[in-house]
Amino acid sequence: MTQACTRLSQYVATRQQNNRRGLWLFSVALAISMYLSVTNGSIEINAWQLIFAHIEGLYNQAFGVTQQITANTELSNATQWYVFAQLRLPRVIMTSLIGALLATAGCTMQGLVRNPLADPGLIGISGGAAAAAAVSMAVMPASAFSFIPPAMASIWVGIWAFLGALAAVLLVLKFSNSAHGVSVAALILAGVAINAFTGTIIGAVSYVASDDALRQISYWTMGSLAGANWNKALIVAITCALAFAGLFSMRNALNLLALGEGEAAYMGLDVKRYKKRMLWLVTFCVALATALCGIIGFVGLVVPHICRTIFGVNHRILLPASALVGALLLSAADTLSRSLFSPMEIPIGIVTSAIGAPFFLYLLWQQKGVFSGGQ
Amino acid sequence: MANSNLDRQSTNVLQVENAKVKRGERLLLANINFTVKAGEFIAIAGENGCGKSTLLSILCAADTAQSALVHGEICIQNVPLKHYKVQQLATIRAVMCQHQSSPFGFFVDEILTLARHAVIEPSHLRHACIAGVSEALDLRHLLHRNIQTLSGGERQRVYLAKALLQLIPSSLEDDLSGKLLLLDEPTSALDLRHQKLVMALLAKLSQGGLSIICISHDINLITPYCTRMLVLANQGVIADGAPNQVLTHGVLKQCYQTDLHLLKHPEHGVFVTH
Repeated sequence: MTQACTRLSQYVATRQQNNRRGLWLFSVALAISMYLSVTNGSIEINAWQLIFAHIEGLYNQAFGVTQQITANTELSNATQWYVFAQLRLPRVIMTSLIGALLATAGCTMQGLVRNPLADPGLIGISGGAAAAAAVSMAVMPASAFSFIPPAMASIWVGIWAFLGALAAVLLVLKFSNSAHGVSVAALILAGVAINAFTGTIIGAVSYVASDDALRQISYWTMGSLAGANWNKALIVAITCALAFAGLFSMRNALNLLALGEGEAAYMGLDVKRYKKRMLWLVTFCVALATALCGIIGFVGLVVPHICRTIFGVNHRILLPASALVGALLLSAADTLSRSLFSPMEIPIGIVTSAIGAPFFLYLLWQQKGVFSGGQ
Repeated sequence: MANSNLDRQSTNVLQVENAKVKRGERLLLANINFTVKAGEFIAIAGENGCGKSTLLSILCAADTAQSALVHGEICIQNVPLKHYKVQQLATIRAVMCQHQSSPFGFFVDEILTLARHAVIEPSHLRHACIAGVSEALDLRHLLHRNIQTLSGGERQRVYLAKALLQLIPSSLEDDLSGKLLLLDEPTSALDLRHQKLVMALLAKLSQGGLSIICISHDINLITPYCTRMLVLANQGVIADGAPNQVLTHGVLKQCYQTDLHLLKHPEHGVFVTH
């Protein structure tokens, strides 16, 4: 009895230790990836030297030390500092946070519908956002309405995308809601239907759109992080913190739901309530991410998969691991998208799909038979 | 001891009054009446599709997936089922379903820990509790295994352990009167040794006050251990009583619609055979 107990405690301790080690490893990898992302691009930046130079400059300014600096290096330092502090840094931070957000949302979605192939896109979130964004770009651009203040015009597409995502999810929920709560099978089927419908809208809008708008639409549906700034990064950071806190507090509920809805109810979980909460949190996260950066596929699908093979399926570890690996993957993908054909930038959605899709096929190949039905 | 036995007999753990279940136009169960006291181990027998699992599912009160309409009143500890919150209910009744599968490969100890998600206890006590139950069900060597790599019988024992862990305060020796365990064919995949192990454990727990309702097709296995048997047929209960009284030629004929022989078992009552 006591022997069995000690052994059980040992299993748990060993697993926790391994998981913690894994999280540290990925944290270091994320830090390296973020550093590379800051330094690489159309302008090479030596971040440390730049930071030291900047601090030294501030110090000199504060204590009135005058330095003999040639005008030439001064200018180049200032430009570099601008690229570093106003372009690269907010972009890298926002990229990592968006990656974390998408991966956590994907992880939750997969646990919620008990399908390791699920993705927030599955229930029409990104489809709705894309359709509304396309409409706003081609049919109702902000420039067509004179009463819109310029501050709002800059986030015009984002607002439409956000509302589109919410509308799509509302529709999907409307169809999958029954007296017994949200039915997962109906949710997925309704998602397929809504995705087909939004595809039609995007097609129709593209057909009538001007060349300019068409280019904008295609650019947006492939995802882009080029518009990052500190304001957007701050919004994403706050959302990310709140959403992660919310989802992590529901880790046990997610574990129970992963066992089966009936099981979860027998074991004392208010299934209806938690399912609704999780769905809305996921929707909010993905709608925000899509509104800010367009459609970035495969992160929500592949990252939880990778994490499950490394960390196991317990959401207590899976949620933080997904967030970390999602941030790592997206920041690495962003570096690639900026530096592969520098100074030209490849849309990030294309990079994530190009990495994600083959990797996903590889995972399926490895686990052949797991998804073919029977246990 | 005598006093607590008296208490037990007077507490109704479960009351079913005039229960009727319909799905669409089809009547699944009608006029079901029975009361379960603390410490009773009830076997439910009946032919395929006679409504055993339906009966169990209405007792679980989580009939979410099936669109069955339930009439009549079901009370646990004299409180109607619909007045319970799911969290409350989970501490006094546990369910082990026939088919359970998750696409995610949890470790066995993680599943067993989840069973106690609502209990606030320090981790060493939780581990002791889980270790105790897994010892009793011969799961000790499986705790660190992935559930998807286990055989059907091993999984069945894991899910039984999970159901027990949901009910017990801290160990299997605790007083479990007032609590209800609902089992749907818990031994269908078990080998002979583990069938005996599970049945003996259930019998011991029922002596400790736990009320058990167990659906089983293996009448010969459960007869020596259960204290009472309900036989379902024609949408209702056709026999209810001690197994030796219930298992008669007439009842079996009415239930299974075929001729069966009843033999005398040297140690315990009757033995049914073809």
